Amino acid sequence: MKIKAQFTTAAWFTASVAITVYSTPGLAAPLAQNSAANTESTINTEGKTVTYADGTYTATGQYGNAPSYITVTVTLSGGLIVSAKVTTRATNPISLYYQERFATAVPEVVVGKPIDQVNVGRLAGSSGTPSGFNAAIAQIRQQAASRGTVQGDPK
Amino acid sequence: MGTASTKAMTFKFEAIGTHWEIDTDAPLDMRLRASILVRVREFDRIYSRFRQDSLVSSVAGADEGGCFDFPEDAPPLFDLYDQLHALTNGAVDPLVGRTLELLGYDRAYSLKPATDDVQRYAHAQRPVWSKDVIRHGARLRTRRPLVIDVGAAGKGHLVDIVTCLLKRAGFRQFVVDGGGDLRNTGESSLRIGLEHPFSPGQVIGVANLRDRALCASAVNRRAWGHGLHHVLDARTGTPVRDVVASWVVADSALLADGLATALFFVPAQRLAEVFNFTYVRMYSNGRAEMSPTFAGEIFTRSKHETNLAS
Repeated sequence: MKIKAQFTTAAWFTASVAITVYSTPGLAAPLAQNSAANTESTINTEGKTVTYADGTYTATGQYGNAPSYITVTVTLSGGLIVSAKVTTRATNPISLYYQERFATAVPEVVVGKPIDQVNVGRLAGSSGTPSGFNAAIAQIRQQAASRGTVQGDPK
Repeated sequence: MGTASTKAMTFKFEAIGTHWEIDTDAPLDMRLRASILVRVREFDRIYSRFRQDSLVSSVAGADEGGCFDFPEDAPPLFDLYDQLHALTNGAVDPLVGRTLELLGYDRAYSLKPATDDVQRYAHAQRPVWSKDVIRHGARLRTRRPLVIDVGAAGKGHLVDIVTCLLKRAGFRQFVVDGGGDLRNTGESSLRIGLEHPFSPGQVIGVANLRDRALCASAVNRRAWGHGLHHVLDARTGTPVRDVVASWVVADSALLADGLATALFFVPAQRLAEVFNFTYVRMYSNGRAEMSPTFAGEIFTRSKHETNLAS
């Protein structure tokens, strides 16, 4: 099965994660009309066919110039990202300062609510492109592809 | 609420580095889809500084400067930049981006934050929109290579342009969502989550948008969590640290987008003297403020404490 999707575009990936993660009815936007229970899916990207195996993948992405990391865990099913989790871990003092500051300061005044607890039709904001996130996603894509078939040298 | 039911079709595509979705109550035919994609590509070919064949790349490559004719969509965009440049005392400046890159800004800043040398050099060399570009309508004159970055308002402008195409094709109720900057056309109201700038999957509030545009700006959009991000103060070349996110509702997405950036630099009152808009602004200390007439709410501990206690 071929899925019309651009796995090459980082921005697309972020956007689609945002959509599927939130799992708000009406927001859920699968990559394609994908018949329900596939164990794997084949993505045709620029002439290359890549197969992604179902499963849960974790990868760490680096962002910025100093070593600061985020860890992204993604569950794939039938070629769709059905869940994603991001944890941040900073090792560089500036980032640590920022992460801690936001971790402690934000909830005191503004309280984030999980999107699926809030009935919204769309989202305004910054699911733009955290570069570390995209780096992690790229690794996950590789892992999923090599666990799939086609590409040869399975581990 | 209620908008989900009116949403019949979603047309999705990738453009100018982000994911677009257009919700309409009736299908878009192939011709309209094609004309949207052509129009969007045309915009990219003019304004993308990541494309070598774009008009802004020609401006950037002109060693001696030159005279450049932009298309007719340019004056509204550049007019807004003129206004925001003046109102923010130069903080909003389409010429900010590349100068800093060329200076090795990222590296210098992240390793040894804001050394005097870097700042002095940046200050001495940087071009300024109000001085280095002479503009008459859509015609720009330059005297040296300049990198124009319309990142602060260009996406909003394109959301308006696409909205216009749909209106002309007879659509009355639709949403154009350009990667989180969006415009809802028609009488039905749309509830929109305000994405938490640092917690993926969370929202800090909700806006009710009816026949207007809502655009957001946040420091995490590029290179987040690091004190290094894309919202730069053109005057100092350093990232803004106080405001971390802003959301603006205005009649056009161009205006909403531009104001969302400008709110990082100046008090809302200053902008409100000139423009009609409502906003939410979040600071690095976790406070958020909302203009009194903002149609929506922000979630604060006092209001939602009980819900969240677990």
